[in-house]
Amino acid sequence: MTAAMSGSNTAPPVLSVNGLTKAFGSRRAVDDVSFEISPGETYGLLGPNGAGKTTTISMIAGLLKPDSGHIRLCGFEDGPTRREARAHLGLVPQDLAIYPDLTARENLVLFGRLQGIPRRRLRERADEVLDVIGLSDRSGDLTKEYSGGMKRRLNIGIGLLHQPDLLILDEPTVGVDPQSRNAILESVEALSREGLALLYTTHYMEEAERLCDRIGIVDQGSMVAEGTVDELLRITGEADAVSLSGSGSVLEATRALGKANGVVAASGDGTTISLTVADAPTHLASLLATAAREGMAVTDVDVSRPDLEDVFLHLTGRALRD
Amino acid sequence: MAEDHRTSDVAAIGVMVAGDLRQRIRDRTVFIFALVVPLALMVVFNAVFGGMNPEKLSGVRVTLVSEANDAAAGGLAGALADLDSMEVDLTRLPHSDPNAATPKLKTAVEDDKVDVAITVPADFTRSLGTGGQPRVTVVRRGGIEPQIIALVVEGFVSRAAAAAKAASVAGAEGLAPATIAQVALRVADSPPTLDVADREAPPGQLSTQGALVAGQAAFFMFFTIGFGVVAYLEERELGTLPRLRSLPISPHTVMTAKAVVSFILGVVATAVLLLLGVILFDLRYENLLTVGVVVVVSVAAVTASSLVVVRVARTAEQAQMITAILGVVLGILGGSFFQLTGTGFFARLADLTPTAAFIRGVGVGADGGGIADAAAPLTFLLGFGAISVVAAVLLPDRSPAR
Repeated sequence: MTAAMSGSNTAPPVLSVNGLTKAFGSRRAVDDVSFEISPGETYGLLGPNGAGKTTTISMIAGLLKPDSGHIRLCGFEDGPTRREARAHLGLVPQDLAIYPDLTARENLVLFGRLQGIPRRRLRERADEVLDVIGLSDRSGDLTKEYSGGMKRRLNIGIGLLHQPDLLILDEPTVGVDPQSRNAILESVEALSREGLALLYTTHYMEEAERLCDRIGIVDQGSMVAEGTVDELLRITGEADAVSLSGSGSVLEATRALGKANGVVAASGDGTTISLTVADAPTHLASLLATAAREGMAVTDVDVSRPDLEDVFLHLTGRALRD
Repeated sequence: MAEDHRTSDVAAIGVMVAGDLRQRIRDRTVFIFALVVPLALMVVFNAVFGGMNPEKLSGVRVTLVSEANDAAAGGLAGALADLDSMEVDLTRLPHSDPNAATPKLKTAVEDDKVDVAITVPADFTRSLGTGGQPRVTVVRRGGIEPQIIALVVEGFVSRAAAAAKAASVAGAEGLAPATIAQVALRVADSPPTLDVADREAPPGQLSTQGALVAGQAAFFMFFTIGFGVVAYLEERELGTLPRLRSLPISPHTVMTAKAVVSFILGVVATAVLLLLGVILFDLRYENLLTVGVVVVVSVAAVTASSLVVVRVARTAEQAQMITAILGVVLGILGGSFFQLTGTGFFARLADLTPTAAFIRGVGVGADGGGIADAAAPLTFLLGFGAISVVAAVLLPDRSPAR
């Protein structure tokens, strides 16, 4: 993650979305969504399929007209309706937006020329991007001969070519094998380190946790929560789960741990004690000391922190991947 | 940070057209549908239909056996010799008993020594004059020329019989024998009612082969042009369309580029097919400028109609299906495979197709007519294109929202 966080960055946001709404017939695909992205920030839109993520970014990219709401893009009040604003935007669609009968270099050159990059500069940029996405060796091959992961990387590379101020990545790892997925995530992390503002949509909570400075959780068209991972976890009030296994005076230890500082709940079954602890890392040492003092020989400790999946479940009553 | 780059819509269209054409060339499908298949069909149709409309009748060898001084047989020989439509190599064999010669004549026909053998029975003229029904025997080979000779003989005999009947009635009414003979002779010697003449196609109408070539070019014009605009729907399915529409170019640029690609493919394919007609089928286009204008206007009109298809279809597959149906229906109506004959609703409908207008326009150019001579088909094509453009603008986009 980058250091650029909302509130800590005084530069004007590259993207400011306010009250965005879009309905298809009677169904509200996006309902009053608002958020901002600061320069250099990676913002994640996390939600299940059909939550309204793609509709939201389609409006930001100018592909769909919002029914209401306002988009301020890279300083342009008219948002993506202005060509100049769209020149500052890079879009990596969910579908593989590349031409199969062109080589990787030809794809880059075609989209680069449509962006208006001068020929000489375009040649240099194509080389740079091919290097970044790791396709320099295969740049002359038709993309229909590429693996799924290579196509995904090229898909991202085309979005980067004109060095946009904001890069929108719509579920860039869908249908990708684990190895390629990791390569894509590393590329995104590298872009973030270079200070590029990113809007990243995903329904994989691990990706959002790994990549995003801030996350907006969307469900059924609405933004149900927003913040850093820690902020989101705190919003839900979820505590950590700690499990202590061992022998000796387990029941006595359970009773003592139930009264220990930070412990919300405790239960034991003779060999294992299950604790619900607010901020387990802070209290773990004192909890182990208490167990030892009560005569329990602890042989195994397991700490599981709540994740965004738990947050989503808490907020919506449904699992993220339902 | 983004560098400040700008591109004009015209430059963007050029870039997209170049990219599209490069892909079409690599894909090769367009070559198959635009050139290989129509060329193959031209050859097949020419082989099947080309021979059904011979443009010149060949000569025919005829042997006529009759009594030496039979007047009616002489009249028949004269009628055959006077045929304008073909060259008749007539041999007269006098025979005292002509019917006895018939077997030999049959053998001569079978041995290809003669194409038609005619036996006029003995006392032919006298038999006719007394109201009898003498039988003339015709032995012939296959083919249209011997058949024409047989028809001429049949016509002559019918007239002779009619003359005999007239003479018989006149005799009963007390007409003088000299007058009766005159009537009979006049009728029998009258020119044959059947006359087949070589005629060139009327001005502005293509020959059979020319119509086949132009018809196939018109038929496949729909498919070739369809490749260009269907690519717009394919881009939507491929995912490249959202990316293109997010670029700093006008939203109409993408569709315009596809239409330009369609137009280029259509003009090139149609021109090549018409040119192949010259090389392979000896066709001639007297006024190339007129033919060229007809090709350009026709391709523009069909391209405009394909914009309607893009509006109506939800997917590329649907668009291909609609294009195929449109191409086949308009092709059949417009005469891509054979000319619809007749009058009434369907005949008028056939005239109101771009296919028919294209064939008519090419016909005018092939015949040496100028652009003014081709005004009717050109005006129709321009109107068809204009209506299509208006429809494409007014029709709501049925593509699924994303």
